[in-house]
Formats: sequence, C-alpha cells, structure tokens
Amino acid sequence: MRAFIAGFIVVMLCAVPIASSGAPKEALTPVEFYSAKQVEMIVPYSAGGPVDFGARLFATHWPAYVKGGSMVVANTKGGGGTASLNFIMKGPTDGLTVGGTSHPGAVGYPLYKAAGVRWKIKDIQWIGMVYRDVLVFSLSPKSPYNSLEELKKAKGLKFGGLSPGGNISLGPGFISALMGLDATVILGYKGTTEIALAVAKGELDGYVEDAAGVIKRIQQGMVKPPLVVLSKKRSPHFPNTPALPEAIKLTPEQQTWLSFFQYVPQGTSIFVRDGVPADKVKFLQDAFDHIVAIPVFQKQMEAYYGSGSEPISGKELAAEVAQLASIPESAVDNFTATTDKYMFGKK
Amino acid sequence: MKIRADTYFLMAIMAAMLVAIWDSLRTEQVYAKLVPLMLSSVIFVLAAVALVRSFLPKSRTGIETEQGDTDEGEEARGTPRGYVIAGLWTVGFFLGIYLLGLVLAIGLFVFTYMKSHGTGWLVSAVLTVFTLGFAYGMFELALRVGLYQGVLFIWLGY
Amino acid sequence: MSLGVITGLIVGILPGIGPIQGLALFLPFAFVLPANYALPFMIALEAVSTTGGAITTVLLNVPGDSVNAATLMDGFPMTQKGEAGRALGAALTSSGAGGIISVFMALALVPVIVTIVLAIQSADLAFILLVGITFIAVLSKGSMLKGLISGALGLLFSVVGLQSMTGLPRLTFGSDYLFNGIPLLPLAVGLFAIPEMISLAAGGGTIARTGEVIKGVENVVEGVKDVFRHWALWLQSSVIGFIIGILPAIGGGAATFTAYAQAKATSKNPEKFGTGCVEGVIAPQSACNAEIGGALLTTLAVGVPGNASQAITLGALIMLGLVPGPTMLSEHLDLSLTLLLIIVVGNLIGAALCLFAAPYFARVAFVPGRILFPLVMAVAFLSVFAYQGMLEDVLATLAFGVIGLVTKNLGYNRPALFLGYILGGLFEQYLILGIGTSGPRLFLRPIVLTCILIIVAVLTSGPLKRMFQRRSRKGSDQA
Repeated sequence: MRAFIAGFIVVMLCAVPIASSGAPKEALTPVEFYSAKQVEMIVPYSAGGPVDFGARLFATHWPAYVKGGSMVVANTKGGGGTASLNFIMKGPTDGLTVGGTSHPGAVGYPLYKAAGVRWKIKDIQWIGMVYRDVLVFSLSPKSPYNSLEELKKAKGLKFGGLSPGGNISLGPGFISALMGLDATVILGYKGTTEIALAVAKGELDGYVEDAAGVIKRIQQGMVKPPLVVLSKKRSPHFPNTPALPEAIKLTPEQQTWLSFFQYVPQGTSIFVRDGVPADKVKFLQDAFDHIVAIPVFQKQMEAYYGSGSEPISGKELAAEVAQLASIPESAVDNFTATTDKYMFGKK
Repeated sequence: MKIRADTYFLMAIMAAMLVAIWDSLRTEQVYAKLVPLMLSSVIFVLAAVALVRSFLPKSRTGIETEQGDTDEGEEARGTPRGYVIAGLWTVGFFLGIYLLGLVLAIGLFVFTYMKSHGTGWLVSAVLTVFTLGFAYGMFELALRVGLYQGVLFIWLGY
Repeated sequence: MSLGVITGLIVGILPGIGPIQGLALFLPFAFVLPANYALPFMIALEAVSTTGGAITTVLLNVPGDSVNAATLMDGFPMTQKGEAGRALGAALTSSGAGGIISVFMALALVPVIVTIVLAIQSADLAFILLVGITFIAVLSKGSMLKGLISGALGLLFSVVGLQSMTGLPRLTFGSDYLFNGIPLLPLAVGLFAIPEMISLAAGGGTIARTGEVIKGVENVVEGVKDVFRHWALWLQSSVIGFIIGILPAIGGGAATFTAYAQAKATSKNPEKFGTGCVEGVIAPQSACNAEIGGALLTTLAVGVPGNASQAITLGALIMLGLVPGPTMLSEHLDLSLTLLLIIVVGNLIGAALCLFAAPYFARVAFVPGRILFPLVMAVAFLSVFAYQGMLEDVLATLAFGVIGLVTKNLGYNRPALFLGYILGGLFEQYLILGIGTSGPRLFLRPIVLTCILIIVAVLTSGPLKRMFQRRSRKGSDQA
C-alpha cells in the first residue's frame, strides 16, 4: 500500500506536467490554435496507396502555411476503412482530427447505403480535394475484344470489383447494364492493383480504374488502352478515348446515373466532421488553398499522379456534393438495383 | 464423474458456437453466411466429441496415442492464487490506462509492482523513469502516436 | 543504407511498430531526398526488420512483427530452457542467411518471374493457402482433436468482420470495433505474450527455468553453428519463404508458418518441435527474410506490391519517375539489381550487429520476473495501442490474453489457432474469387490438382506411418 501511494505521488509529480503540456487556456484564434497544435490526419487505408500518398503530401506541406504547427498521418486509426470514417465522424470537434480519404468512400458509401456506415453526407465539412480523376474502362491484353461493339457479342464476360457500393464495383455493372452485356462483376478483390493483376492474367476481361492509374498499368503491360471514360467529358490523360455519352446513347435516367460518377469522382478528399467550428473550418480551407498552390507540392503531385489532375477547394467540393441532394433517392435505388443484376452472388 | 476445467471450456466453446450459428443464419446472403456457418458447426461437433471423450475412461476411447502424447496442457508455473494475483495486477493496469492514460498508468504500474514485490526503491524508481521516458520519447515524440490520455484528463478538458 | 538497417532493427524489435510504420514515417523524407538515398534506406529497413523482430520474439514471447509469430513456438521455449543465446544465434543467422539466399533465387528467376506471377490465378492461390491450412494438422502436438478445434477456431476468427465480396458484416454482433475483423496484433500479443508473462508473475523466478546462467557468447556461437549444421533445413525454408513472397498478397505470416510446419513434417524428431528445438527457430526465421526478396522481385518485375510494406516502396519508386513492371527489369536492370543487392548487404550488417549484441540481449532470460513482468506488459500494451490508436485494442489484448492462458493450460494449440486466423480469411476470399472467375473448371487447373495431392499426402502420412509402425511392431513381436 505504501508503495502504491508513493508511486502514485512520484508519478503524478513527473507526469502531470507532461500530460498537461497541451492544456487549453483562454480561447485562441484559429491561427494561434493551429500554430501550437498537432493535427492528426486519419487515412482509413494502409500506407503506400494513392489516397495515402496524396494525404501525406498535404501533411508534409502543412508547416509551410501553419508556422509552428504540425500534421501527422495516422493510417487505419479506428480500425481502417468504414470503421475509421465512423471513428472520425464521431470523434472530437476541436478541429484537430482531419480525415484524408478516398472521395467515393466518404460520399459513395452512405449514398449507396453500404453496411456499417454511421454518417450522412451532409455531416461532412469539406476542406478540399487533393486530386481528382475520372474512371476509365479497360480490357485485358488477353481479351480478343477491342471495342464496345465487340463486347456486345461476347458471352460470359467477367469484370472485377472491390466491395459493393464503390465506384470501382459499380462502374463495370453500369457499363454492362447500359450495353446489355452478358457479364458478371466479380466482387471481393482487395484493391485496384489486385484487380489489374487479375486482368493482366486474363482471369478477368476488364475493369474500371482512375485514368492516372491506368496510364501506369498500360506502361506495365497489364491492360489495354481504355475504351471509354465514365464521365460526361473526356479525360486529359486519354484525349482520344470517348466519354460515355459519346459512345453510348443514354436515356435521361441513365444520364442521372452517370452524374453519380461526376458528383462522386475518384480522388483524395480532406474533411472534418460536423460540429467543428466554422472559423476553424475556414482556416483549414484557406490552408488547403495555399498548400495546393505551392509549386513544389504541384510538382510532387504531378510526379505521382501524372498531369491533368487538379485539386478542388472545399467550397467547390461542398457545392458539388450538394448536387447529390437534388437527386431523388429512388434514382439511387434504381441504379443499385440495376447494377446488382450483374454482381456475382446477387444474380 | 469428475468435471475438469477442460469440460467447462468445451461447454463454453459449444455455447459460443451456438451463438455463432444463430448469428450466421441471420446473415442475408449465401456467400456471406456459408463459411461462418460451416466453421461454427464443425467446431460445435468437434467440441461435443471432445466433451464426450473427456467423460469416457481412456481405455474406452479406442484411440491410440503416440508415445508421450498427452492432451494435458503445459505444467502451470504457479499456484492458482499466484495466477489470480497476476491477473488482478493486469486488470488493474488496464483500468489505470483507462482512467489515467497510458503514461501515468505505466509509471504507476511499473513502480508499484516492482516495489511491492521486493525490488529496491532506487531500482524501481530508475526503471520507472526509464520506462516512462521510453514510452513518451519513442511513441509520443518520435513515432507521434498520440498516447491515450485517460478518461480523467479527457473529462478535465486536456 | 546503414541508417536504414539500424532503423529497421529498431522498428523490428518494437512490437506493433513494423516496417510499414517505419517506412510510412520515412515517406516525407522520400519526397525530398534523392533516389540514391531514399531507396536504399527503405529497402534496407524492410530487409532487416524481421531480424530485429526475432529478438523480442525469442526472449519475451512477444512477436516483434506478425511474421515472427511462428518463431515463438520454439524460440521462447528455448529461452525457458536457458538457451536464449543459442536461439538468438540461430534466429539471427538464419534470418540473415535467408535474406541473402533469396536474392540469388530472385536473380535466377528474373527472366521468368513475370510469366510465373501471371500464371497463378485466384483459384490456385486458394488451394496453395489450403495446403498451408492443412499444416494445422501437422502443427498439432498432443491431442489431434484439440489441435483441430484450435485451428478451426482460428479460421472462424479470420472471417469475423466485413466480407469484401458481399459487403456484409459477419459475427460482429453490431460492434464497430469488429467491423474490420479481429485485429492481428492484439490477437498475437494476447495469445502468446500475455499468458507467458502472467505465468512468469504467478510462478516467480525468471523466464529461464534452469536457474543457471548460461554463458551468452558460447551459446550464441552454438546457435550460429546450428544453422550450418541444418543447412538443408535453412535452404528448404528459404525456398518456401521466397516462393510465398513472390505471390502477391499472401504475406509473410503464411511463409513462416508453412516453413515451420514443413520443417516439422520432414524432421526425424517431429515430437521435439514446440519444446524448444532449434530447427523450429531456423525454419521460420529463414522463411521470413527470404519472403522479402521474393516480394521485392514481384514488386519490381510485375509492378504489384509483393507485400504490404512493398506498397510504400512502390509509391516511392513511382514518385521518382520509375514505373515498376516488366520494363523495369529491362530498362532499369542496374537499379533493380542494386536494390536486390541492398537486401544482401543489409542482412549481413543487420545480422552482424544483432549477433554482436545477442549475448547481452540473452541475459533478459535471467532477469527476475518481478522486474520483467511490469516492463514487458507496459511495452506490450503500449505497442498494441500504437497499432491503431484505439483503447479497444488494449481491451481486446486482455481478452485474448485470457483465452491464451486458458488454452495454454488446457493443452490447446495456440500456433494452430494463429495459423488458421492468418490463412482463413485469405483462403475464403480467393476461393470465392476462384469460383467466380473459373467456375467448376478450377479443379482442372494443374496447380490446384497438385495442391490437392499434397493435401491428401499430408493428411494421410501420419495415420499411414502409424499403421506401418504398428505392423512392423507386430511383426517383430511375433518374431
């Protein structure tokens, strides 16, 4: 007992100063607040992927704007994936926890009602999108088909996807539905790299991925150049590849479905949860605008993602995401019901 | 019929597997429920067989074992009381982490455990400071993990 | 590169902080450093992290990295027998040697690696993993029934969480914590480290039960010699580790356990495995470093990360303007060979540094439990918290610690449970992908058929051996 009391006193004497070093004092301005604090950016995925890269690059340049402050990246804190996003969205509202995530993950999962999602799209306060890209549809080099028309005559096509509710899984289902293909989307791959490898092996006939990623796959000999861009406009990465409306005549309902890919584009977005004070959100947004304009940052982004991917400010992103609210829920339900017909295990 | 610890453990496994089977049956899609259902059923059956075997005399099982084969566990190092005390220290450590945070709980646990088990004041204090320094320096400063502060400090607004 | 070696050893020793975390911390520097500084650092860090991880694994039963978990089975029992120095000597030497030989295997496979990787499909991976799962039967010492229960429980643990194909949660009971499944580090620490430390605290004394302090240097040298005495085992295990390394997404855990199980299956004294047998240390440690050479070859040649930490290296290569893939080996052969050579040099330096310090590390086995118990528990809980930044992980470690203690004392097979956990989820994923992409034709694939034959051989070899032994005993009795 004496040991316990003595230990408690000794430890409290030593450790309380450490523990209280971050104690808040009187109210600070956002500049003062962030200059004295460490911001934690939670990335729901393992280190090394494209989302992690963009988030890390942003975090590296944070001190360029916030003198004295720092930002660290914590991968899979909260459990990873949807669990990490839940963790951010029910975490503290002091503005020191920021999410750096795949945009389709943050927006698409609640939109398509993926399991385990505990946040709503409107709860997210957007800081910005580090890079943005469109999806393109490519075939295996072992595939005998070279055009969308040839695919219509094919039997037993197999495309790859991740888990249900993401663009990578919905994209092939969408194309199959538009063209009435005899196709199945095999879900369950862990990442686009795995899918691309399966495509290269001939295990799958095709898949969708963001354009910047597909450029590398083509260089690696894993896929053929894409047949179509899942967007209303062409991609600067593939100026000769038609956009979907150019290749296929879309009904008004199908055009609405295509707009899901526009309002939920590929890319890494940075956000905070609802409840973070407006002045801190504004500070973070200003920091974002400043950092993405740094020439070194832009050069490093281009080295990794290629040219043609541009960041988007928090305000623009919020306006874009708000467009989703104007689309009736029935349109989303019809979209998922139509694409579900092509998903392996749901057919 | 002697009921051993193993018997209770097997019954606990069987109960847990019944719960797992029930939860698996509630899962919507075939591809989602198939593997958990199969595995929990197999474990239930294996545990039931092991339970029945444990009640039968060894000569009745008809199963030969290799020389030296035994299904007894490793010889326990200490007495049951020793295990209970060690377990209580561990649980107490966890509660300390929950209430006071990692740094304080580590300091308290290391110092009080060593001291109450006969280690000298100096050695206990030095090793406590060393451990605290390692925890804070390596994890908080170098790796920037952000150690858990404890419910008490969170409540106080730190 | 030397800095990478030292950093790799440190992150390897710290439980819960593995090469992924080490590399991730380094990434901001990789953004600004020239390639000839950044890449050697990263490759060297990864190459030796499992070497460092062997130290805590052998001495404290706390896996430095998850891939070191297989070394627990015989490494810690050796320490308990007072042979910590010998175990360290064997572990560190076989790690270094495994890493070095893997580079030569990689060089030999450069012309054909792309063909090999592209030939193996999801169905093949499923059955390769099933071979690994079958080794659960081999790992069982004592009661086969308890071994099977343990292995099956591990398989069940592996399917907890969100299924990637359907997006549906299984056996989570509404818990957000279990959404991504049972996390690896809390399971490993809880199952293996906590029971040993509690046993140590309950019984007192030191980890080494001999009571006699065995001279460290001689012991370490003995362990080094053991690797050369068992050169065939070391080579066999390195080949297994390397082959599994070139298969993307399988991971080092499968490599080490498979190597261990294969070593036991082919040993003249299989009953000694699990009791503190040096072969049980040599096999997994050779495999875990050999796996890295295979993984790097796949990363460079195919452009797909061979394991999770290679994903970071891949990102760094892309940022430096290099696109790993088939053209990498032809257009940048000199760089590719340099990166592979770094593994050789890194392993040499890493093993040498650790062997030099091993006699001092080995003394941990003779530190009184009243000092070791609180220190190890503190580091274990710290590491577990650092894993995902969640207090729930610490609680889970406690819960698994209870399970580990109960299963240890009742004779259940914890390594079999852990092997089931490591391989089960991957097996289900690839089986479903294989069924989806190949359909019933998957059973006609040559690799699948070969795996089925191996499985039948593994499962029947034990009973057949016993049957022949009984017959020959009857024959000699009658004579």
